[in-house]
Amino acid sequence: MIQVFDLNVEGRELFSLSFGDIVPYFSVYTGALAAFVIIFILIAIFSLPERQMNIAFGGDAYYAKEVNVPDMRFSRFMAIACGAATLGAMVTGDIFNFTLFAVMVGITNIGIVAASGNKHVLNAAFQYGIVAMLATVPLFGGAALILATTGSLSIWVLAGAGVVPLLAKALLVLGVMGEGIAPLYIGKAEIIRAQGAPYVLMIHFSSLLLFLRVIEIVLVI
Amino acid sequence: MIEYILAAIFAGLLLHGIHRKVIARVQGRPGPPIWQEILHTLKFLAKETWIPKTASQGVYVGVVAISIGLWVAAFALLMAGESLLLLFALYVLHKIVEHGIGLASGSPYTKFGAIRSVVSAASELPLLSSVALIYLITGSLMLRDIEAYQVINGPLLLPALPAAIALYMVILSKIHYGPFSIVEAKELVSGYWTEHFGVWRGVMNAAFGLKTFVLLYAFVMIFIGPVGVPVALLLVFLLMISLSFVCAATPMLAPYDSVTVQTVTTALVACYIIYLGVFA
Amino acid sequence: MMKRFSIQLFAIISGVILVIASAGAHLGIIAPSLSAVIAILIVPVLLISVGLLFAARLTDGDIPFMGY
Repeated sequence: MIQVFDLNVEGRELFSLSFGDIVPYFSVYTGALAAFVIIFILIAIFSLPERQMNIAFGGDAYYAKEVNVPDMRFSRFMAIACGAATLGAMVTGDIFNFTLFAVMVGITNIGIVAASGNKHVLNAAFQYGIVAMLATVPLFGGAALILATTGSLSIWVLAGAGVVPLLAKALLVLGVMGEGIAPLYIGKAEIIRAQGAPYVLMIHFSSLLLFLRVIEIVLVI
Repeated sequence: MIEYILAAIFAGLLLHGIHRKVIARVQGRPGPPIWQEILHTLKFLAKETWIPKTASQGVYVGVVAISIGLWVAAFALLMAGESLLLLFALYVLHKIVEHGIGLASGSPYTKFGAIRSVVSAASELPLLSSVALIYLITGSLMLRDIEAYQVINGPLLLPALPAAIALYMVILSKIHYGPFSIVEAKELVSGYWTEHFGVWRGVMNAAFGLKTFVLLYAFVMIFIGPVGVPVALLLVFLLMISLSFVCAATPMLAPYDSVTVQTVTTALVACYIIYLGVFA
Repeated sequence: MMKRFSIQLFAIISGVILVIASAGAHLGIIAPSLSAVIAILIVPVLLISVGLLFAARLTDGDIPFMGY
């Protein structure tokens, strides 16, 4: 039987923890990603938000927007929760857990945006909510297809067996792209009316990391 | 380790200087001396440094440290012959650095640069398709295995030509003054790094020098194979000059055109991968 | 605040750690992977503190917050 680390995809094994057939593991790859997530969670915890400069329309005047403290607290909580969910998605060795963490990233992403009182930002948050909900269908559908065809959802068991259908992998990637909202979010500059660093940064960060992890999963299983 | 890192930073900054010189000569200008970028970096290190009052302090400083850490990691990975997938991941995480630098300061110019950086997320996709193609051909993503494969089967440049073109596009989209460098376009002052000055700018310059060196060296490692350090450095130099010619001869594309070109490249390489997978 | 002395301390300590790490990796005392991880973590500290040290004569090592 081929193991995850015989595949020459992600470097050697650093750590693995056996819970029956579900094995959370760190390779060089996932270990590096997890370390990066921890750094960003720390930044989200300890960093004060930026104060955005705004230009008064029709003139040269500019002013710094005030930071609304309760909103900022909610954003920060959501950003930290988003970081925690991303960390979970990096660490887990189970495809179902991965999809759950991906959905949690989607929910917290909306939470970060929705903390702002601005009409345009709330409108954007509503649309992201719809995208994230739609994306759960391919995401869980992909996981369900994998379970139905192979009888297992453990990355450790499926590694290198080559039994996962291509359709399931494609649905998984599609679902993650929807949850992370990265490709859909690029057209929506409204999000930047909300507090940018470090909270909106966390949205982009979590979606890129989810994408990196799902590539690893798709290559391994 | 540290001696190699410092040497690579200097080599990268020198490559930037050569880049500017070649562009200037192609365009019929005298251009700056080739060590200009090294002097630039040292100059920025000695400038007065502060943190803008509107900035998110942790992100403002942290992202600069992350940018240099990221490319040191990529360099260490090249030296150890680790996974190409990890190099891809570090390259993608560089996007976070651009985005974070842009968002940290509160300035509208840098914010525009950050938005453009997100829009040009398409520039990562050619690298992914070239990684996939290399995996399909060599059956491994470890750089040492790829080198071993090339010792036996000859350079990957010809069998994986679409992947090489895609990686070339990736390097081109990260190079200064290139057709895809919309994140630092002059209509945004300096784009995402407008508000980083003094020491922060100096360290970022060092990180970007290291980035250029790592990407070019990775190209030589992946597509030419193990040729020894002097020949590899010569190839890196020639590659840089070819990039400078492209940059000198092309105008900067509009943001959406830039994204379109990158996406089309990815699609073409993806078609080639499907063709290989199905018919070969 | 970051005074000149503490910046000097940071620069010297991080430089020494880096030199020890790479020398150890060359001599085979430290595993190359450990040396690489140390380099990744410490190089940013070294470069930023050396930079601040260069700039220190202007502000005596302070990083003031200035703005609008």
